[in-house]
Amino acid sequence: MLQVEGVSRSFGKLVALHDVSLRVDAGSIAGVIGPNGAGKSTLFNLITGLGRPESGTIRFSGKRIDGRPTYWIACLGIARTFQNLRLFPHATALENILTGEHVRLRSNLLEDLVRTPGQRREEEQARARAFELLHLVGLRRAANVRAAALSYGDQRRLEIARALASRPRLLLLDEPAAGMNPVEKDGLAELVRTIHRTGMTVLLIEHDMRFVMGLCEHLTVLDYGERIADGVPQAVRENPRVIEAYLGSELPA
Amino acid sequence: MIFVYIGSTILVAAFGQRIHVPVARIAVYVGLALLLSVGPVLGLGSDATLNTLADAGIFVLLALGLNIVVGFAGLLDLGYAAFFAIGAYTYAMLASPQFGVHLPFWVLLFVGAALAGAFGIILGSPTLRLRGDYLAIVTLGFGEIVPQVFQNLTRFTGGPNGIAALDFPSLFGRSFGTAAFPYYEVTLGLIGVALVTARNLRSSRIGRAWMAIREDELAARHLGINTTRMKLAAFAIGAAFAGVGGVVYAAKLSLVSPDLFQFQVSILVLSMLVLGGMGNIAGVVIGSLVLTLVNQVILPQSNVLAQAAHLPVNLSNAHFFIYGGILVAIMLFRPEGLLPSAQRQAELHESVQADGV
Amino acid sequence: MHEFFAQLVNGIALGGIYALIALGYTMVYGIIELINFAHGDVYTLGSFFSLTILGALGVSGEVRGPLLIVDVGVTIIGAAMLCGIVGILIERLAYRRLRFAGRLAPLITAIGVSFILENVMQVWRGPSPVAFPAVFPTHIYNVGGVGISLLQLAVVTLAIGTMLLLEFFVHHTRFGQAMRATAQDREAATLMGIDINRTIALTFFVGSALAGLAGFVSGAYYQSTWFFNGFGAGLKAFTAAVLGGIGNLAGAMLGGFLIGIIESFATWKLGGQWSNVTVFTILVLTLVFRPAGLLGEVTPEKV
Repeated sequence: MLQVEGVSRSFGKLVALHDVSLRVDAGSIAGVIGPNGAGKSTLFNLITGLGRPESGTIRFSGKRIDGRPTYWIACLGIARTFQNLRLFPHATALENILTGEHVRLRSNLLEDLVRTPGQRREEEQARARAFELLHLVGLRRAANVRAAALSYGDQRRLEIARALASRPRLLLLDEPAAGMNPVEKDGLAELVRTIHRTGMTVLLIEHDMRFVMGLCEHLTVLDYGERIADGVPQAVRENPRVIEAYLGSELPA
Repeated sequence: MIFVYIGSTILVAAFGQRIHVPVARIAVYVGLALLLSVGPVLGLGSDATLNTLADAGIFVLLALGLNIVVGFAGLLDLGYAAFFAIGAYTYAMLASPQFGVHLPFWVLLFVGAALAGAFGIILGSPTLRLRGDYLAIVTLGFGEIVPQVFQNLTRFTGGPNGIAALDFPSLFGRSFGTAAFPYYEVTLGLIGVALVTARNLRSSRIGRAWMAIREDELAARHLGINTTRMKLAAFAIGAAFAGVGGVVYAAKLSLVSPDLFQFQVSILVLSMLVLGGMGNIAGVVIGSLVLTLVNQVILPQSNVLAQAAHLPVNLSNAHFFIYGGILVAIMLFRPEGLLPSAQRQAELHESVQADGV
Repeated sequence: MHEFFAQLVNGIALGGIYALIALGYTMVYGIIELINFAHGDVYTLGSFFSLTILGALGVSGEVRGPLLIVDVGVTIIGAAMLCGIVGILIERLAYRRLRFAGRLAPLITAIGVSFILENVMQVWRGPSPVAFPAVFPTHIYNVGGVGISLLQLAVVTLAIGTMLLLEFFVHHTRFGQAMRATAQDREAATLMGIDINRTIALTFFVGSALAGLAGFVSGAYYQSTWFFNGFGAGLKAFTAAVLGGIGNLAGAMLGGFLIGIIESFATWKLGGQWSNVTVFTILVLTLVFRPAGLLGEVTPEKV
């Protein structure tokens, strides 16, 4: 479904990614791991059109998407969350999700202006769907609470719900478990599994190895912008290069 | 009279949104609309009062338009008066002896809106990618260029003197003349349209897209929102409001000149928004009414009083100070504007109900 | 050809004034990313302060000999100090609270401050232009057929001299280093023990003092000033800062001279009524096509 081939990107003298390749098959849960500064976020940014790779290609469902505008890639069916949460803080949880449905709604400016029956029906459906998503992430009761007033864990879940609202075909999660306690992490892993069971393809970035090991079917390991390992979690964990890369920071458990 | 109007508007704004039974809310709105529109027919309000209200109404229109750009989409437009000028000159050139063209007012309302909107798109398409503060300065530059160009193209625009003796609008063959009443009614009707437009747009797909751009543009793009196009829409719609306001303004004054559209006008309208609360429709209406009242009634009256008391002050020059003071004080101490956002509270109430179902 | 050089000289002198104002814009933007809209009005204040000081010194016309240097020196230092203090006050009272409030709230506040200053000056010195004594002797040097006045020489010398001093200040003093560190990364600067508030206040002081200097120069050059002077001049100086690359001192200087020359030629060739339109068109075009300016670097968006 997603094919990253030989992608390189540098910022000035700093090489963020060097000749990185990656495949995500439809219906799978894949993970990209690596120590801080390994280039994981840069990879996500390139996939969602924040910047253009200096070489290499990125394909989604066979279509070239590298260097395309972000909104265009989102319309194709790639949704993401952010490492440092990017909700709309002053909008309610419900409004956040409704905004996520943007690409699915068809009403145009004039229809919005005069509120045609079709537009009203569509808005009704959008709200119903938004409530379903709120239910899915356990935030139904918080529908009309401002995003900024939610707890950190709830904000993370809301951001996932917002990403799902566009009915993407691929969901990118950027360090979804960052800053969570072990209980919250378990809950999150359960949520990701639930989403995956609906047929969603998921690619996530993490540096918490334990979280990824239990969740992902396929792992890619980056270190200093290079891919040092790729395969099923068990094999990756025993790879000497991975152990070396993680030595001193976090040993794979 | 003027206080009755403003007082009742404030009442509706403050409480209208808290009334949950839709019938009651609609009744309040209809009642207010009737009072405002039929009242003068029955002789309520002097010509001078209606004149002030009509002027205030034009600024309400401008403020509602600028609110879409600044309040909804979060784009600071410091050259809004340019679009006002474009609307006004449209009427002046196409309904006056200037070129001997005499198109009807009602047609020119649309032409003015369309032309201003088109200029909004022309200015916006290259500039809306810029960061917020740069965009503000570009619009400011545009706002300086437009009146200057109108002033310089003497052959078409009458130069610094502008264009005078514009046609009076007419309806069913009856000319509006110089009485304030018909202009007042027209303005009121346009405000009604503007209010519905603003409200409908805010709580729809495009309104949410604007909210997203305002709150976090990068996240908005990741939700598939074509931010450039949505900003352009906000810019064009806001400009169109100003264009309509300009046409009415020119027709009512029967005169246009470049000095009516200086930077101060843009800042006056911005102060109205800031005072009432950016993004808050009712607040914006009240903010513009209050500031017009200050400009047209309170300052001149205080001046008369001051002179009667032989005080050595001239308050007619205090406009700058008042606008500046509003901008600074509100931004520092109450950035959400004076009117508390009743809507947010209402939403919090509704949430309990919705969940209880 | 003669006229061409006369306009060039004229433009360079005008540009010197813009350059001095632009330095203040660029320093403040460099450190807190705020378009200090009130900066142009601080420049006008500089003219009025100079006027007051000259009055106190009993100067009402041309001064000759060593006394010229004394009078001008006292006036410049006085006006610059006063403007610097006003700058610190503005930052302290209006901007500091909003340092983390995004980009638009401080900008709106700055516009408000500008309007307040203009109104205060209008009340203080009246709504019409005020005469400014012609301090400098009207001596004209003939350089290859082009007349250059002592005043024009003084303007350019002052502008370039200030620029060199500033470059030295920013690159070779502790305050300058603190300023650059704060501009680059405020958090890191705090960790290094730099007092952010003091550094920002100092930046405002220096920028505003330069505006005060420019206020004196323009008063002496045009022999008149008025309360609304700073709006147009400020906008043009800001254009200069943007054209040169905002945050870049040499860029502000270059931009200032370019804008002065362009305005001068626009006035000559197109007529005075088109000079503003020309400058603002340059502002719009620069921001659209090269927002980093002539000497600036393009910075990528932070995620």
